[in-house]
Amino acid sequence: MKTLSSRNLESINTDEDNIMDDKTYPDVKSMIRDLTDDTELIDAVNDAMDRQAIVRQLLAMRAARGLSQSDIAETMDCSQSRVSKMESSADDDLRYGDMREYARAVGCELKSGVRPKQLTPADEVKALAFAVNDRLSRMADLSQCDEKIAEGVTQFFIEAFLNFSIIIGRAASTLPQKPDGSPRIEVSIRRNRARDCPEDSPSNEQSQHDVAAHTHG
Amino acid sequence: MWTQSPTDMFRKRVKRWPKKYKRELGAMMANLQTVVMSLNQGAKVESLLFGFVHHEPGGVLALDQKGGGVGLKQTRLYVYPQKAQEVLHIITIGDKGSQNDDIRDAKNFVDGVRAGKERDEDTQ
Repeated sequence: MKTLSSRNLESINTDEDNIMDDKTYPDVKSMIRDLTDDTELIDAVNDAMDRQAIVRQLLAMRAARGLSQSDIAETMDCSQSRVSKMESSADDDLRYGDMREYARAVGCELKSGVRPKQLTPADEVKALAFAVNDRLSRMADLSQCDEKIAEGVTQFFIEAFLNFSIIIGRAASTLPQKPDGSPRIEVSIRRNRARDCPEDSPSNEQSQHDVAAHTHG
Repeated sequence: MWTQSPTDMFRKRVKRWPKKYKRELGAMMANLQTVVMSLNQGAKVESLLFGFVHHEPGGVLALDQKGGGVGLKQTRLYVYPQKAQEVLHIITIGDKGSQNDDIRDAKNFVDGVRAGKERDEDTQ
């Protein structure tokens, strides 16, 4: 491989062909799609992502729980090197039972199912939205008989609403611009600090945010 | 929620990345996605104890191509997690031959980010 020449960042930032774009990305795929037109490179990234889709989720859960490979090995009653091998394997090369054991070791459960192959991304989002709707309804039911739970659920609903808005806003920002250079959708979330509600009011948080989505043209 | 902020250096190197090492690029990007997922799940940077993560001085993480299959060339992707802002700076990407320069560039970048943060705090 030809060695990639390295220059310090200061000199790079003053190049004439400098891009100087502070754009941020919510995920790797959208970043790569934006940075290169080379379909071979984009396909290679997608293939690598698919290769370890389940393994990656297991790794993320291990890190989130602050567990080491040795911790997992102890729970699974196997060697640390076996866990290491599992973590660098493709999903297809792992035994279902091993994945299930690993999931248990990180306090999760492995769920599997069968679904139509031709499910589109839009169908998947709809299915997830139905699942979210189901869980939110369950939480609302739980809050019927207890004021404290109702307050907690209310707060959670507000946070969920804001987070979903942010997620949609970030995804929308990765859409290609319109031919005239304008964005297709703009999602803005404005935090209003000085409203009528006092600081310690339970409804204060609710009144502190305005969320708006605009389409152009 | 963490976002990724690529530097101009990284952007340029991706644009010039050799096709014959596309699998290495794919593997590093998949590993980057694992890091992003972990951070979004609430993992601490210190808990990112994966075989493909190398903790460099100054808080820089070097992600290699492990997990991408056999016969891949040794390559590295250098990132810096800015915890308070939940921004993962994607600094640069290279191979063994450019490793020393890449680490130096990554360190310079982090020094710049930290100096900027201190300036911001002084002016507040």
